[in-house]
Amino acid sequence: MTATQPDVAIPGFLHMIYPYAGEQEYLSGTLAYIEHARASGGNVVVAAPPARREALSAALSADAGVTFVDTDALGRNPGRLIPAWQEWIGRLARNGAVHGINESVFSGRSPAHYGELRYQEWLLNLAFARTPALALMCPVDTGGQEETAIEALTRCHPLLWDGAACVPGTAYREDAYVFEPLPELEEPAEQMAYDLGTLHEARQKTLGWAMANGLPSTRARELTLAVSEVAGNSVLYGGGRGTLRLSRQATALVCEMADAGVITDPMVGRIKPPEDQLGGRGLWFVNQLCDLVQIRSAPGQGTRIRLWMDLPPQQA
Amino acid sequence: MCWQVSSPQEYARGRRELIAHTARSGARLLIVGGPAGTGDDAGSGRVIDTALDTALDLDPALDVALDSTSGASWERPSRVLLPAVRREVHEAQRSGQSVRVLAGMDHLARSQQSLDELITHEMDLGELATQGGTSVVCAYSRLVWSPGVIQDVTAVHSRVVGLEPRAAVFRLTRADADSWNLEGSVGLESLRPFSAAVRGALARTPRARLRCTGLDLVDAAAWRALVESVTQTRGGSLVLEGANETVRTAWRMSGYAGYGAAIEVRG
Repeated sequence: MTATQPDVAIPGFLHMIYPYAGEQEYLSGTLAYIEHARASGGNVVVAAPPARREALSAALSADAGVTFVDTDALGRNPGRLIPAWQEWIGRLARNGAVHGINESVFSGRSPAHYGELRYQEWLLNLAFARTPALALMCPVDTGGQEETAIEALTRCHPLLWDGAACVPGTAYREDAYVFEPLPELEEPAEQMAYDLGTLHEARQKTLGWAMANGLPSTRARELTLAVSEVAGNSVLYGGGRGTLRLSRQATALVCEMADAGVITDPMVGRIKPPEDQLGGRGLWFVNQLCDLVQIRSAPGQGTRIRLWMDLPPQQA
Repeated sequence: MCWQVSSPQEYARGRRELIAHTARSGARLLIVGGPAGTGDDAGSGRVIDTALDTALDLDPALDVALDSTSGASWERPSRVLLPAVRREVHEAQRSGQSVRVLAGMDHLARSQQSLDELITHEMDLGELATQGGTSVVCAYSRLVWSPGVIQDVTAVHSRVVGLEPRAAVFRLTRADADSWNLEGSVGLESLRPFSAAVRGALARTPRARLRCTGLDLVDAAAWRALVESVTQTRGGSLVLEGANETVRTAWRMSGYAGYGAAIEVRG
């Protein structure tokens, strides 16, 4: 096994997982990574939950030159992670290679959230495949997690940080991502077919249902806008029509739309559209508005998109 | 006001009621054209002398006939009639009378006309309504116009009447000299009338303000249409005022602020 140091001459994109157990192991592994990065003159960006940022910050000197970014500000939707990294890298890349620490919180997530987080980790390989000098180390707290869950995450990372060096991962799957089947929604409260002539009706139905089920008015309007975007895509690209199902889950409202179209670009809605480009913003809006977005699409099966909006704690 | 007329009988009845009501109020009524096939005296070309001498028919058919040798376009009726109506309105107002206009759109436009042209005609008529004391009723026969067109043109009317009327899901109407009210929600299904209405507004007020307190949402396709309309209007700019949080969020997410269109969205 050949060790690769994440130095200034990063050969393209290095994406590594760092499974750790406990804060001590977290700190030793991440500090070693930062030390390597600084030694090579690269920029270091740490995107981690507040407690991890505080622990790292306390262990680093004030002049360590590490940039901390607030992942809480991204909200809960994993679909916002890739554009956030693009922005952070864009700010720093002109000053040389970027070495990132990319930590998401996996524990306590619903199966749906967990699945999308894992998919997001796999998509990072596509999103930054052509980035010339970027290393992303993804710490994963193994405490309280099933071994199979860690294995599944390992399959999304070509490389492994072993606490001191970057080594090839052994479980990485380069071929197409395999989704677990979407579980059936609980008995939907509302269902309707839509086309161009009934888009407004679909919006009205969504808004009324969302507010009746405890979503505050602004969030209900945002969910309605997201539904409008997906339904509009059905009209334009999905055979002109689709079906909307509305289902209340324990802690969230879910709107599912199905149509006959096929989405072939896995990055759709996950890359911020250039300002000078007109159009191409529908699914971008959806990812920015919703707490979770699940897209399943395949030839012969059409497309199913689920939009999740978390209920306020008192409504959940 | 947009009146969606289901039958010649309904038009004739409504017209009589409007004449009577106008007479009682002491206002002046101008009847311009009339729905096709009414069998009524609408569009006959004669000035009708009803109670209190308050109604005046202006017949577009005469103008078309006059211009037939030169291959008159269907735009001719409104081009000729609108100034005539405007003169009548000004004259009535000078004499202290309020004015009502009943515009039979079946004669003022043609059903094959583009939506842009139709909305332009409507906004021209709407200009009359912004002048003090004038109300304009635009009558569309359902026998002549497609349901979609009748629905789309309601976007630039402040009210819609008729039997089970179909209304656009947004509305853009004049508020004052340089501002317009934008209400409802603007999505994929409304792009054609929305673009036409915004271009019409910018043609009249290139630096326009849109009052958006009644605006629910604007989807990504509609933001694109708005940006295109502004950038295609020389010197055009829009300020959306009173926009709710969802509208402001969508504008920010769109990133179109960096596109170069002079659009500002405020709460």
